[in-house]
Amino acid sequence: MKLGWKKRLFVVIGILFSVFVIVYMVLILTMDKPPLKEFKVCQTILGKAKRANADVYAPEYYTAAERKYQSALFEWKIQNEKVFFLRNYSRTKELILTATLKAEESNASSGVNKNSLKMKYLQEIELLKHKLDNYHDIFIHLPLKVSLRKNYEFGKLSLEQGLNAFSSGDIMLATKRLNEGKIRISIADKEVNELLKEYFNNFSRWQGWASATIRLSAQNNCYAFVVDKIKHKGYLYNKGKLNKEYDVEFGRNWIGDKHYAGDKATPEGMYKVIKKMGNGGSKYYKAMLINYPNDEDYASFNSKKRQGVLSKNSRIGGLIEIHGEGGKGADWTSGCIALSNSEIDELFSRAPVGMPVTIVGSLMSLSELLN
Amino acid sequence: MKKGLLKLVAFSVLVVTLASCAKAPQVEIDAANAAIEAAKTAGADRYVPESFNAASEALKSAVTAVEEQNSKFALFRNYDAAKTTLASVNTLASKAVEETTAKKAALKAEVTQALADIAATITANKELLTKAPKGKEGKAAVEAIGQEIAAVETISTEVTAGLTNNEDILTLSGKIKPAVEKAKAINTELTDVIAKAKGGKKK
Repeated sequence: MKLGWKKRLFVVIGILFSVFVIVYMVLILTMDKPPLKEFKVCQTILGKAKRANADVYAPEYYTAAERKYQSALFEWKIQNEKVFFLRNYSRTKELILTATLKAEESNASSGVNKNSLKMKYLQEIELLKHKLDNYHDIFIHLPLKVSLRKNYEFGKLSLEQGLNAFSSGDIMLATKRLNEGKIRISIADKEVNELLKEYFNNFSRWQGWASATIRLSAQNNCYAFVVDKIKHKGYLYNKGKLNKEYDVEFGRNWIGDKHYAGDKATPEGMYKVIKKMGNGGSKYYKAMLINYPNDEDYASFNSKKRQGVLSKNSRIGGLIEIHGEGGKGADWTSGCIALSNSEIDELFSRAPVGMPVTIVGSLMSLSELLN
Repeated sequence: MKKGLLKLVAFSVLVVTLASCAKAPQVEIDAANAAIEAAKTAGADRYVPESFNAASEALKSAVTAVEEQNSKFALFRNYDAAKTTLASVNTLASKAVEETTAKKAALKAEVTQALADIAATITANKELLTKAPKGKEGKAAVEAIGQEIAAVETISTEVTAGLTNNEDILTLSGKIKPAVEKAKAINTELTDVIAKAKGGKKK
């Protein structure tokens, strides 16, 4: 039985269509699958990293992870635009796996970096606070500019702002404020250090004077008075042993030796009491006059005049006393050493004429003082 | 007649097939991206990071869901789930913007209150400073406290100016809080010193 040409054509088309459908189904079933699961895993890890502030604490890893993620997504889109049987997601998979790895690294690094930043911050703030605490007593007495002091206070406030940020968990801001504070404080620090470093060039001389004075007190079984300018203290020794300490005040320009009359500086050197003046005998309640200028002071003064460091008209000055009416909390004398009236009463009653009086910049070295 | 019917059926199948190919929700994606961008512009990433992150993560999920459907054979695509997620992105982003606005307002009120408090404390501190004892380390200490008050006052002035110029309220808040604490600490210090001095005089 012969089929008509139309029927034969129908059968051929039917067969071709069936083959086409089968091939199409096979291609659909075997087409490459996109890395959906990998994308979800990456999203979870990226989310975790973001919540851990990896964008702040490990920005290089986090940015790399985000970039790789976007590249993977872009590659996925490109593949999706192709005819389904030509799609190949291997590059997408590769990219999303790299993104996941980077996200994991950013997550881990964020924790490590945050902790190390935290530790560094705590160490630095501890050191700085310790330094500021040590500094305070010296700092308030130093003859510094108002602007410098204000800057110093701003620095301290920046540190407080940093501590506030630290307590709310923002280590980055805390570190930023710490650094701002450090810069402001270091400006004051630099000036103070320069001032003190130059001043402490005489430290070995001061040590020698103080030791000799205490030895003298021990050898002669007598009182001796050692004045520490930096600490603003006067130490009364008896028979070589510390008997009493007093708060003392000086002239406004107390840093450095006295050079000439009217420089508002308190002399440094080894002196002795040459006259005692009771109440009414001195302008300042009770007073003990010391032998400034001594031979060394004269020699130094004349040498400076010769060198032209001091003008020809300058005078050496004198009338340096240890007197009362102190306790004002400021350096206000014209170069004398002031004690409160109650303390001068006590010292006056013990100190004889001839008592050694040694005035030094500091009994402690600069490093001991600042650390 | 029979041929015509066959053609009509074939055409209908073709139309239905083509019509059933779902389209990617590009408009919704664009809207969600814009919503996230608006939230970021409002500062949600800094003021309410948790809410902002939730919205951003939802957008990532939605975009993945869209691509998941794009990967399928055209006849089997269904963007309903992606559209739902995209709608939630808008909701979450709007919520983040609302929360940001509320947080900014709350912070502004806090800063305003802090400025009022600090002004009162500074006035009180200046008054106390005149009564502070000047003995021992007094005058130098009083001068140092004076500088501390001046520094606090400058911070207060800076924050007031910042508030007027609509500067970032989070930064202003971070600046004023320690200044308030400092002003209070100075007040306590001065009050104690004055009280001690009075106690000492009575003896």
